[in-house]
Amino acid sequence: MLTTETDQYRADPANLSPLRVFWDLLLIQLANWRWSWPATMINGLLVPLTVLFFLKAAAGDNLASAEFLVSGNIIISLIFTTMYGTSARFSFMRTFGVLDYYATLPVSKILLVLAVNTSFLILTLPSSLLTILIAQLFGLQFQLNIFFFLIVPLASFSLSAVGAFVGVAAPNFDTANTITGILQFLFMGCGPILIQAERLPDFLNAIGRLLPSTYAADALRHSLTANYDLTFLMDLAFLVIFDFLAMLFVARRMEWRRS
Amino acid sequence: MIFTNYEPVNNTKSPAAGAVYHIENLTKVYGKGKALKTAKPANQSIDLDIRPGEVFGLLGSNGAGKSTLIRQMVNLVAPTSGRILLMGQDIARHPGAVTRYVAYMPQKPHALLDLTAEEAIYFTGHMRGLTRPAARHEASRLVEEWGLGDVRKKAVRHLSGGQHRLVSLAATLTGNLPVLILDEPTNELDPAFRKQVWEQLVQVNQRQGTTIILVTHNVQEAERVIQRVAVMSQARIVGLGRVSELKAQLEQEVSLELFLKPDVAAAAEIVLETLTGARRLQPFQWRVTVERAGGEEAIHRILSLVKLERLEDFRVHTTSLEDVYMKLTGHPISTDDTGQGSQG
Repeated sequence: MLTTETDQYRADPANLSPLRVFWDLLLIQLANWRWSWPATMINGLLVPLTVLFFLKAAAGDNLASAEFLVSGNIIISLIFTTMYGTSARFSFMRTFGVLDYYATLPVSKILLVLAVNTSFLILTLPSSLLTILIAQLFGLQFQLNIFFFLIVPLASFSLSAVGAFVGVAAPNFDTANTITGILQFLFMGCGPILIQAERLPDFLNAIGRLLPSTYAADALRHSLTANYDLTFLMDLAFLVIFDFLAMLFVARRMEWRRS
Repeated sequence: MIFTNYEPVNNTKSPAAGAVYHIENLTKVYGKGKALKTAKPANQSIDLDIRPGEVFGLLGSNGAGKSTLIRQMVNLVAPTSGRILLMGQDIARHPGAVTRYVAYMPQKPHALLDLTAEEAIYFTGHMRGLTRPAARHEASRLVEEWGLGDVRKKAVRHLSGGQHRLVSLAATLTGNLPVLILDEPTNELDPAFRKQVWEQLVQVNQRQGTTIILVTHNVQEAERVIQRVAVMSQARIVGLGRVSELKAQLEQEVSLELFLKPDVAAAAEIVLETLTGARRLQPFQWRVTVERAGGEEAIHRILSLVKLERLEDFRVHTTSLEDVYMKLTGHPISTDDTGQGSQG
């Protein structure tokens, strides 16, 4: 085996702890935000508030109950930031050979996916909290509890996994962008996100049952109103299973070593 | 001809003792299903050994199969057939061998664009297993060594193309891995930066015994550092050996390079087209190769035939690696090696 003078300061790459590698990958992703976080955060807050404003203007008080508006806002914010962001990020990494850089380092692809998705979660968490704060300023009282901090990451991971899948599977950057744009409206419009299920056509509700955004919005509504019933637990279970499977699926689909 | 009976220096079917890389009957064809049957191979029947501590050059035009070969060597592309042993380990079965021993710089290093120059080097070192202080120390040392002190805190994306490439080279070197694979390391660099890169690479090789595998178009400059070379054309290795060995086989010849005056070039070209060993390199530039024995007389005769007043300039030169390349492939290195498998 060849050795070099630095070997005494170098751990065997095969024995690097996953936590150490994940931390490096996360820091790299977070360092990327230094130059662009204000725009992304404003986007995350502005888009749902704008949607809300127009919906309120069009439908008035008949639109939905307060918890629908707030939970829907948070989910739409996640759709527009994490799903779009991870799609663009992975598509860029794939198109421009960034994945090759990581593939030649002692890094596992599941850790890379996890780090990118976590960085988007960290970026969107403040706008989710801000939405609650704004709602409170308007006199709407919600429970901000531990479940909120469990549901937002689960929702964020599920949506970023969808975005990441598009990013690694689409043939190029432009196609990834177009597909993500379509998915954003699909996730936003199908299922009871901003509007109650009974006001939606059946086919939209049926599609919505397949989408994680529906379960995330429902879980969030339960959490904000402290209503922990069986549906809430089923929402959580769906999100946990979806996140786990989606993450594995993305990692499996990603072009990596010897693919 | 000299190279028609070419035999690779290391073309054995068993790993050479202590070879860093042993490549055996490697072929890559891109595509799936029916396309796979009709596609031309990006590389074909490659046999190659890379020895420890050598600076090895991989020369070839666009599409010759160089990039595919090195992407297979770092496990980014799976071969269609054949195998690659790295330090005696089959990288298909032991992919960890690549991340343990090899530092690779791709032709277009777009990773880490949003990090600062120093962070890019630091994180690469730390992910390769350096301790935090060692990674910091290495980043600081490499920033100074590569003349990046003024831009150490600048985002890589805001650096010039040349500085960006130097950061990528420095990041590749961090961790002192025993094998470096550099794909076109001097692309986009101005002459001063190119000189710096070649000097630094020689130092790294001599100081640490690092095995360096270079892919380059820049034959003239690379010749100063490359010890052994493989010339690729049409997906195959068409020449392999020490630079001096390959050049020695051509040194029975002398080249006369002629730069024609554009307004009278046509008349000169009529003469040149009749001469054996004459080849047009580009518009108004020709090269005539003559036997070394009696070369002086032949050169005088050519000059008198073409006529000095039709020439802007002329040069007589002895064998270079570029000549070797031209002899082996039949064209200068800047032209495309067309008709090959994609991604080569």
